[in-house]
Amino acid sequence: MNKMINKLSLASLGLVLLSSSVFAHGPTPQRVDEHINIDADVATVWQKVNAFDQLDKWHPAVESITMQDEATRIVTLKSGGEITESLDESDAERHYIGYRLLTENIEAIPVSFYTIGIEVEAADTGSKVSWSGRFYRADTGNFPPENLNDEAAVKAMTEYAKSGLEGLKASLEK
Amino acid sequence: MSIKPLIFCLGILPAVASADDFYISSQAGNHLSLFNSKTDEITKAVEVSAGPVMVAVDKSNDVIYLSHPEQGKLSVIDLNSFELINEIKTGGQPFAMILDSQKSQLFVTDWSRNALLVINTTSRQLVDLLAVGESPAGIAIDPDGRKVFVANREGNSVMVLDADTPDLYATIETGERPYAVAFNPINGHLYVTCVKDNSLTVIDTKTYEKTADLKPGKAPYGVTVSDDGKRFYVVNQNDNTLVEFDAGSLQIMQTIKTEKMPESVELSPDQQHAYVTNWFSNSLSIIDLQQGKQTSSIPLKDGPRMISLAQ
Repeated sequence: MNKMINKLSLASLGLVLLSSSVFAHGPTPQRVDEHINIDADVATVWQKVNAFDQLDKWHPAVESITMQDEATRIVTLKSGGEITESLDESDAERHYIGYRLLTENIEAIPVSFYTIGIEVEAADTGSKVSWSGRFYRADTGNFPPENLNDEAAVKAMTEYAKSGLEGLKASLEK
Repeated sequence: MSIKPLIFCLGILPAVASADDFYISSQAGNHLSLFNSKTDEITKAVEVSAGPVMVAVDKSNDVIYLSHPEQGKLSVIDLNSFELINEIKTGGQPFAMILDSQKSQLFVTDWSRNALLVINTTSRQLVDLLAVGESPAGIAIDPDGRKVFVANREGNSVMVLDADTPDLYATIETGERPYAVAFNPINGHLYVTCVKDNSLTVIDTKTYEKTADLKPGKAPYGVTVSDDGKRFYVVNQNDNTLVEFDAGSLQIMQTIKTEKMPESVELSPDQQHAYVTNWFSNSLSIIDLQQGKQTSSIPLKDGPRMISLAQ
């Protein structure tokens, strides 16, 4: 069952280059790492954070949530556009949820993939919530345009995390 | 993995690499660091060309290869001085690398061109470019059996290629999104971490069959095998853990906490410690395998990816 492998000719390389995979993870992974202190106990904050289908109740950038199945949500953004996220884990002991981007929409958020974790910990007064994750720019080729490069991805992911944490705080401290 | 006796020349060349040296890439921080496992210290750190991801250390030629996928090139760095010797422009997105201990060649996966690159390590020229599956990531070699194993991340498969001729022996289905691979020369098994479905595929490289489907944890990433082939180790990026498997029973022997988003793992020469790069925490976990816990942590430059022993 030995089979000769195709040798790629140099001429065909140009064509191959054009069809870069949207999932390609060659680029440098980027990081989001935001925190906020909330004047509410861990159990109360965790209840909100853990409700995967209720993000629209506290994230100011989110218009609505539609559940595709019990672990997959379609997030409709106020700015327009939808992204689909899937829940990887919900750890009630650690007060941690982890989820990932399942279907990208680079016009809505200029990233090609992410994994995000939100964790609630006890703080001196109330709770500390951290929003952290790893992601890749929208254009994973080696010559991304400005709106799809690392900086654009970091900016969008950081703003989304910040506004989310502020919205969570506002919803619990009102 | 043969470690040549270098002790006799230490007096003449004090800077020569020792068996206790490990090399670490920091992709976002553009650094190559040298970690000495005798003193548990970073003994050298130099700035390199942007975005280094993988490291291959060629002791017989006294060079270190770094892959820079975003620049479509490899850096060739002097093992002792850490100075840049030259660059190999490959094009595409060169990613993981493996040296052939039997022949002057380096195999490199090219993520964006779905190709396996062959570099002649004497001439430092790209000499061949072979079509593999979609988004090839991790790579391993069986130097005696003359086989190369490539994980096709988007193809959900491992390809087995001949190390000397452009022949494809087999394409084996794995779990979803296979990333890293490690070959166990003692039992002929190949371990493949599959990031998306949180599995580890075990392949018998004699029969090309998938023989087991293990559950190491969430988002399994780097994997390495002990020198005696009796254990293998996997880090789980989303669990922040290191898992030790028994290579015979395929049972988990212990699960040890690392720092945040562990990326790759290597064992100390005496096999008593594990060293784990933590991508999110920018740190190196030093783990005592007897005690089953992290005993200390060393800060690393931004975005540490790979830790590698000299081959």
